[in-house]
Amino acid sequence: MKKIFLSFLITASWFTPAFATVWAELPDVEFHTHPLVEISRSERQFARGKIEEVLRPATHSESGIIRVLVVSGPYTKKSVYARNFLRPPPSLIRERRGESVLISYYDKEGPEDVLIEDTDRTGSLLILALIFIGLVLVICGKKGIKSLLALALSVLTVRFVFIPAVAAGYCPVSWAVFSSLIMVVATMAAVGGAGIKSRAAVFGSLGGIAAALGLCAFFFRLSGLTGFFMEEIQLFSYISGGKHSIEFFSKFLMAIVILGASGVIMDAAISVSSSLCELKSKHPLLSRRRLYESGRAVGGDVSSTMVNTLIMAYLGGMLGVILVKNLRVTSLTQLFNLPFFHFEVYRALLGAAGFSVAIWLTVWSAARLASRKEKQLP
Amino acid sequence: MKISRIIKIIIFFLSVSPFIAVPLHSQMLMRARTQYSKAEVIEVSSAVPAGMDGAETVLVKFLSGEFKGGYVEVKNLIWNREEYNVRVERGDYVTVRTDFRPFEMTEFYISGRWRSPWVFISLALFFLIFLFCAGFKRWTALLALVLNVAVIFAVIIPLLKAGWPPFLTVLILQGITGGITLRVILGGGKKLVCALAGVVAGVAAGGVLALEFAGIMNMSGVFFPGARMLQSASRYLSGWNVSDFRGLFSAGVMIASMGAVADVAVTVSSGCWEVALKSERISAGDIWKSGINIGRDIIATMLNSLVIAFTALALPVISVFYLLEIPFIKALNFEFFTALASSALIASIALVLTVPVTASACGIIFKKE
Repeated sequence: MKKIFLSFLITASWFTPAFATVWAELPDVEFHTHPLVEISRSERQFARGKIEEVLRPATHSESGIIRVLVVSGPYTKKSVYARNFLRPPPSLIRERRGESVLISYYDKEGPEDVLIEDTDRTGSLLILALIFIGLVLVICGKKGIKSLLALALSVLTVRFVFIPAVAAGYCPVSWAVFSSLIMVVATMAAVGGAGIKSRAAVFGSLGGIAAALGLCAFFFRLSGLTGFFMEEIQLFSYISGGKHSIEFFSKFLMAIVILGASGVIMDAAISVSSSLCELKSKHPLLSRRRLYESGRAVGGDVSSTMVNTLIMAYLGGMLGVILVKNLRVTSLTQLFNLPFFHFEVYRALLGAAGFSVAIWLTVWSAARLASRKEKQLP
Repeated sequence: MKISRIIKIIIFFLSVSPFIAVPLHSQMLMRARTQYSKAEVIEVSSAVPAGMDGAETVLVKFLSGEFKGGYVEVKNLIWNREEYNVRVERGDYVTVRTDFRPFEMTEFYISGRWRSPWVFISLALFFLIFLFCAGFKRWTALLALVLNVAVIFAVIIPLLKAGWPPFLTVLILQGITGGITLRVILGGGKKLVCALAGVVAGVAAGGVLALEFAGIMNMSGVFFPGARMLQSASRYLSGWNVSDFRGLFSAGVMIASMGAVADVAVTVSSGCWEVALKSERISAGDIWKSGINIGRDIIATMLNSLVIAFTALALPVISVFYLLEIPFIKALNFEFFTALASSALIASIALVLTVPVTASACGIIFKKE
């Protein structure tokens, strides 16, 4: 039994796009039944609800019937009868009174064919977000509000500026750089104001991003990364019906690398710039050379600690995927030639290289700008 | 024969048997196996034009592996969609996958380009750029980084695979590697103790919160690509024993928050040290206040790094959701999305919590009264 399953597993893994570097069958043959595609095609509406009563628990042979109080959408405060299907373990719906669930229905003069889709996690996410905001405000005070706003703006920029542009087909790289610029300027405005500090930080950030971009273009071309090792990119291509060229997806990958690194680049540039300007304001007689040397020391400190941040954040986020790769990848030769491996390594290393360059450029420009005799410091 | 002699013979056979059984067993496994080798393309015999399905025949010369030096005709699967194709010409280096099948002919496929040198070149280039920009004296930081990554791949992943409890394993191992990293950055002494206290507290807080919320949010933990395969593997393959997927999620959050937490702990610890150094008498409370002040500045910047890095991890998924116009409620509840969003939030909370813990430790240890 074990051997049969083992050979099935090995054969089945042939058809898993994320892991095969050679496809026995085109991956998007199956996409018309992909769960996300099905959701998008169906006309079901979604709403949140609370379980009022479990009339019949779900079993393997028949669906459960549950009365749910609708909590969001046009049918709020209405009680509906929803069907619940048993899900593979670990089962997600506890079927208890008061549990928050996500329901879906067809909107035809009233909810029809109501199904319980999933647990509703929005409540818990909200609690988590509130804890986070509360802690930041308690520890950081007024400064916390500004940094939270800058953070929110950054995330919103990615979601509402970058994503729509890419979906419409514009060059992902240009829009990634543009979004990073918005993020840097916004964060700098929230933190520092408009003086030399900001100018040095913006210059350094842009330089770092440019460096990361150049390195990406170089290595992605040489490694021949198209992006099609990732299921999401295959989906993207499938959904847009082949409208975009292969270069578009290469650029999309580069944009991902840049945006990921831009957070770290931005913050390193801002901290270094702030430290240097503060140093200059406390010791106005420091020469440009001395300022530059101190800047290098500070920059080196920031570099050494922050390089860990980026790389560990990526590793932690990908822990599950790494474990799975361990299952599928059998030899080191295979691993080192896997496009996925290359992309992950480049994402971490080239981002970190960009951030090192950003720090160096910020130190150089801050030292230069702060030492000009005719300018006043903020 | 004496009983003791019989016992000795039995023990001898028992101790020798693994050495016989294991090679026999792997002999059986060796029969159906796959090998990847480097090869150079000599000639493309039957090309398939773009827009058609088929299998090209390519003559290659093996440069590594069992067939090194040999000329073999291998297949290159071509699809009507160009983005899934590998186009080769004479002189290109490719990776060839050799499938040894029991009782059947060995099959050769081109599995992709030969890319492996470039990863190593990028590693070397990164080291050079980093050392040039940060100063060559900072090579110890690179060493700490390499250690962190190596521990994850060589220790944490195998232990998780074998089924060790994720939260405790990662906590202890991150404590150790964190301690070494801090030692490298801070040198020995009191600063190290305070920073370490902060790091352990932060990482533990992150892990505990992750476990708690995974329970509250009813997360199965089976959301990342390939997670179902991991479940099947754990059930059917020996050596794989991953059962605690929520623990896995929590381990991921702990590892992700580790870098940022260490950074904050180092900054607060060094700052408090400087403050304590400058005064002849200073109370614990004053040191604590300075610590919080220093922490404030750095939290603002670190939050950005963490959250934007997580957002970038989720970018492909977000863009697919946007293209498919999936309603926001459904998207938010999609477990992958929820997991990433909550990882970002929990790692940030851990980060923020590190500041008061480190500041308190500094206050207690550095005070001069």
